[in-house]
Amino acid sequence: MPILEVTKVKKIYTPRFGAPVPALLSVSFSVEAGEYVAIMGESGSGKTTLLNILAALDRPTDGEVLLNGQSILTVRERDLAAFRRDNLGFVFQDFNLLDTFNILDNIFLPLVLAGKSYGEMSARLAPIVEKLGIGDILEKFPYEVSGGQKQRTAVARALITDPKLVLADEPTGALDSHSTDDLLALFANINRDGQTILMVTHSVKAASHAGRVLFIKDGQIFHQIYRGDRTNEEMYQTISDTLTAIATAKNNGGEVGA
Amino acid sequence: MRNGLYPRLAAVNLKKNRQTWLPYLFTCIGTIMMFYIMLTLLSDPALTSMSGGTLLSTTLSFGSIIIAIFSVILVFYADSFIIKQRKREFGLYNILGMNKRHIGRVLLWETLYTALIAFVSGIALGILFSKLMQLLLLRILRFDIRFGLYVSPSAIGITALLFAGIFFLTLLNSLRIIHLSKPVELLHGTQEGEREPKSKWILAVFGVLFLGAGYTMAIMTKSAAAAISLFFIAVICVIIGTYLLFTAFSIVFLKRLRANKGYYYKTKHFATVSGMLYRMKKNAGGLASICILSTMVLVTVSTTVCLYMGVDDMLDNMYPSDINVSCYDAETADQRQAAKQTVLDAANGQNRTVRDEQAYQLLDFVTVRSDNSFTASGSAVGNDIMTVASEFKVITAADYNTLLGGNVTLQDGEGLLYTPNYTKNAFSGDSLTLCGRPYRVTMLTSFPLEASVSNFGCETYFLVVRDAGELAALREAQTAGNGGSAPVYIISFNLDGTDEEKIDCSNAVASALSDDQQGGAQATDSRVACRAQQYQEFVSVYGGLFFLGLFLGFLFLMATVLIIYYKQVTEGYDDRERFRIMQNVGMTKSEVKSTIHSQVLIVFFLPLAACIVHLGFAFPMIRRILQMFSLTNVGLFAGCTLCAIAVFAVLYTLVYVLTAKTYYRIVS
Repeated sequence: MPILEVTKVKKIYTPRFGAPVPALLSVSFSVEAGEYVAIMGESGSGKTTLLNILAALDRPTDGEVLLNGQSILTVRERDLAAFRRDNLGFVFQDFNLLDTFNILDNIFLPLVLAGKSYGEMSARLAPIVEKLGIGDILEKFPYEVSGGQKQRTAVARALITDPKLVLADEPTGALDSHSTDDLLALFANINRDGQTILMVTHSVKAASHAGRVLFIKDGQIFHQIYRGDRTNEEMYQTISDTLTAIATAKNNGGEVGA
Repeated sequence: MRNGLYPRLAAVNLKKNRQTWLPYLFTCIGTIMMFYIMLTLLSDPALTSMSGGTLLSTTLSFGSIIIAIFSVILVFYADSFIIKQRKREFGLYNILGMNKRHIGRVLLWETLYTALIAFVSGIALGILFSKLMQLLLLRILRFDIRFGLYVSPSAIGITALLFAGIFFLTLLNSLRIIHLSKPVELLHGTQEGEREPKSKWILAVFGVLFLGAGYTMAIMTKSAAAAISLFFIAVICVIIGTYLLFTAFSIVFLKRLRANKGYYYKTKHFATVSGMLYRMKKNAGGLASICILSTMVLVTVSTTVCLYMGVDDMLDNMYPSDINVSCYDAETADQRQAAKQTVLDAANGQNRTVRDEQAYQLLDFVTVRSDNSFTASGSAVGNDIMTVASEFKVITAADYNTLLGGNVTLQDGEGLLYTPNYTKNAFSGDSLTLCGRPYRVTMLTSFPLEASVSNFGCETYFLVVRDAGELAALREAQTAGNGGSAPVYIISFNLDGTDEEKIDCSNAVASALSDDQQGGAQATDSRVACRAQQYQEFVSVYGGLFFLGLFLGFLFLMATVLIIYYKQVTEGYDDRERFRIMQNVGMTKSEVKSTIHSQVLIVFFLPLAACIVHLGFAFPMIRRILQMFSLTNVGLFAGCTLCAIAVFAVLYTLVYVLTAKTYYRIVS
């Protein structure tokens, strides 16, 4: 059974004045447990809308989203926060760390909100800290550490609840190239350990580490590439070529849908 | 750039920043209005020409100085708050190609607009309300209401000068802030990484010590005079203590909470404790100021209200009868008889009916007590007269019998003793030595002259001795230490008629006595006090203070409201980002709202709670000081304080409700 199943999701924004704006036309795809999926698209392609719907931050106009077989659309409004906390882990472009907490407390935040005991929290923390190599900055504050370290903190915070799915929104967007490499290696690493990851990005480099890349354009899934046995470099080349082809198709006034 | 640009830009800026600018404008209008009203009342002929007018104008000019000082502080505070909030905006201008001179010109226009609007509306409202205030003051002073509007051009002029100066200074200050900052900093403005506050143990300990010292002084002081001399020291201790407690102690305390893992890592406490750490770091100064201002408001209002309402009580204590005559050198019975005759003749000559007449000799002196021995040694008492001294008021058995209509006879060495028992360690026993003379005493449970106790707040003892001979002997005995004053012959009585008639009568008595003295034969030096006359003076002094108390109370309240409002606005902008992140990480909107709500509540009501505790400790001390003003009605003072607290708490909560709305509009 797929861990995430998206069926004919449609989202139309209706402004108070003017015509309705379609953000997603009809998006369907599924993610198997243990998969590492990247969704690529330009600004305005609808990928942020899609991510918000998957994160249950926004509701689709039509369609269905199943997480682990359960529809996230039927979760009641007041249970949504708990639902997100228990099932999803988030990594954001701008880290979203609270500057009033030190690194340790930022990582603990979702567990504290879930009402876990301190003993259980520490037990869960140890392996994650070791895996992410942030043991020596736990007592520091977000303004005292580098961007890469902040993003690893955010990853630790996402993983500590043991989520079914990690949603990453442009996680390398605010990082330098060295930190980007580190983070992508880390994602690959935790994916190997069995963590399902869904990443939204427009960075070819970031997408080239994924097991599967979905291309979204004008509110639809446009194309997808499976890694197969390609190396990261080959994957990078393939993605680049695909993007060029998509862009060319548009410039030639070609039909959407390859 | 074209010339019209700056004024237009300035106008647009003010409109855009109205959320912070309008409260600033209102503050300026308010202070201008209050300053003008105070100056107008000060020069209002309707007030200055009446009896007690000089005392009143002293009080009012004191008030206007306080308002002037306070206006400077308040307007300055508000202006630098706004400038700091707008750093980002100025940074943007800078990037867009305006240099600091251009920004300065925009600021100049903004200041001009603000000053003009504030001045015109402030004076207009001032003229409007000065009539209302004049009526209120006349009412408080229990004078007849007069008609006609009085506008004082000199008051307008002085107000204009003062506030032109203040606005000029604020402009300079803004320019300094802009000039000192770099464009990049301007652009980032308020968003610098906030460092975690450090625990300052020593300061925290000092805070506790200072506050403890202030509180101890307030509670332990037993006499009114000591209370007065220690009051300001105690106030300063408490002010320092409050600042240290809010700034250092709160941080140390919160960090202790955070170190307690079992407590800290709970959903309820987690965000609140860490959030409070930062809030306290940012706001501690402001909160301490609010706390101290509130305490000032409440102390000022409650004491002045109490003094005003207690005028009748005070008069009863100080002047038990309508007319009180003290004759100082009436050594012989003949002299006393003659003086009494003169007084009564003069009173009757005014066609007044004399009632409740009392006449007695009173020997009044100060002693130092050790156990049950009292020695007259004025020099040893020195400056501590009120703390270590016991005052003796001695009369003869014959006078006691006349006063009471009784028939008491005392043997040699016997005495009757009465003390109003203000303190627990007042003397109580059956034998004492007074200036080396032993007495076997019987304690009385009441005394006819009870009302005339010392207003110095020291122990007062009323002693009845056998006869005039014993009184003379006692006088001799205490002369060595005190320089020996003769017994005073006191004649007091009540009159019928109106206050004016009583005052006329008192004047007639005084001039009759002075004629007697000029005449020679039975001359005595004397003093005549008329209750009705004192009443007018009391009302003009305490009424003036009462008015000033209300007026300043209002000013302080305005300052409190302004600080609270600006605090809420800054908090709102800081919290907006935090709000968003917490929701992203899995807090529900209502959870976020409730944690933030509880933090805002703590921050908001902490100063009020601290202020009420301060008042609680100040109460016994102020009560003793009021005793010095012959105001011994504790119930009245307690009532005034409680009412003041209640009214203030309601206003404070109202301000909270209003500013909380702005706050939630910002964060969501």
